[in-house]
Amino acid sequence: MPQGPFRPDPSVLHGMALFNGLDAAGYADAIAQARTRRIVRGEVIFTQGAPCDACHALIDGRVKIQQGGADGGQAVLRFVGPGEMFGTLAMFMAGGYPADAVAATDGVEILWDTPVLRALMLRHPVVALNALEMLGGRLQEMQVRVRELSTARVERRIANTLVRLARQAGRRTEEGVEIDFPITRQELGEMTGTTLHTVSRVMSGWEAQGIVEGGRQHVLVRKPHALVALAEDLPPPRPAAPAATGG
Amino acid sequence: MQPRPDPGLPTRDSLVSDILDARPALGAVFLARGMACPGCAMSGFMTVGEAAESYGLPAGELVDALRAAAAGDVPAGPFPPTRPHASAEVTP
Repeated sequence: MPQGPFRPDPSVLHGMALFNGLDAAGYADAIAQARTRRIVRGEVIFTQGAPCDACHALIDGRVKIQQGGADGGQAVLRFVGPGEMFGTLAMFMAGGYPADAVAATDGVEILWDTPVLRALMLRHPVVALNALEMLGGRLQEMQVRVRELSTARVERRIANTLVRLARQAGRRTEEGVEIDFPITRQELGEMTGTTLHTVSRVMSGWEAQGIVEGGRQHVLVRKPHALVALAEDLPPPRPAAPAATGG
Repeated sequence: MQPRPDPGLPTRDSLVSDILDARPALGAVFLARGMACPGCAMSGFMTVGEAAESYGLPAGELVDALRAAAAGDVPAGPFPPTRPHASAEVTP
């Protein structure tokens, strides 16, 4: 028997990715196994690291998913709205919930205890397949993010190295700052702990943006400020800056 | 005949590092505008005019503020975060 303040209509499950493709009997089964619960603003629904004893979805309200770092800071990962699931995939993770869920407003959630949901998946394999699909989507997001992070790190290292070389051996010319000794991309790769291929790819990107200009053994920094901004992770350029004539 | 403008009197053609070496307190003028020039490795290669252009700021106003600060009117903190730099080629 469902517990909680009210017994929701199976239609609240429509649109939830986990239950895509269920037939009417499946929806009825899923709702019969669920509990609903009122949540009040500020309530902690689950905490990072706690064992995943239930999977949650929001019927009404807003929930904030946030992760605490080693430095004590909180990073808000996402906001959950009505019809969205949260803390669902943690049932497949060894370390419990990966983040805190805190109610940002009063609301109502619907939840399935983990053993109940497992049994539901065995009765309706499409639910398990949906969970796998969600997991796959999350994995893909993660891979993109890792690639972005590692690319950004390499770019910053190369930019930092060029800035350092410019400080040490830069010469101001009409066109920009010339690094006044021969340096190959292979050497830049060795100085930054990356490969010739990566240095070439990154530098070609910068050349296309007019930031640097390089020959075989020669580097000219055409936009010193832009290179510093890359090295120091300063805010990126505004899109479509109005023509700045320098007063 | 002078190879470089007098660093004591900031002009559009002064190197940023010359100005800051001569009067470190003028760093506040850059910081107040969200410019990351003080301590920057490239400050020895860029003029005040070029630095202003990089951020899309009017160079004349920056020079005026630097001169005012050199005369004692140094801006006080707290300073804003570094502003984004100007993206497109600077049109002459």
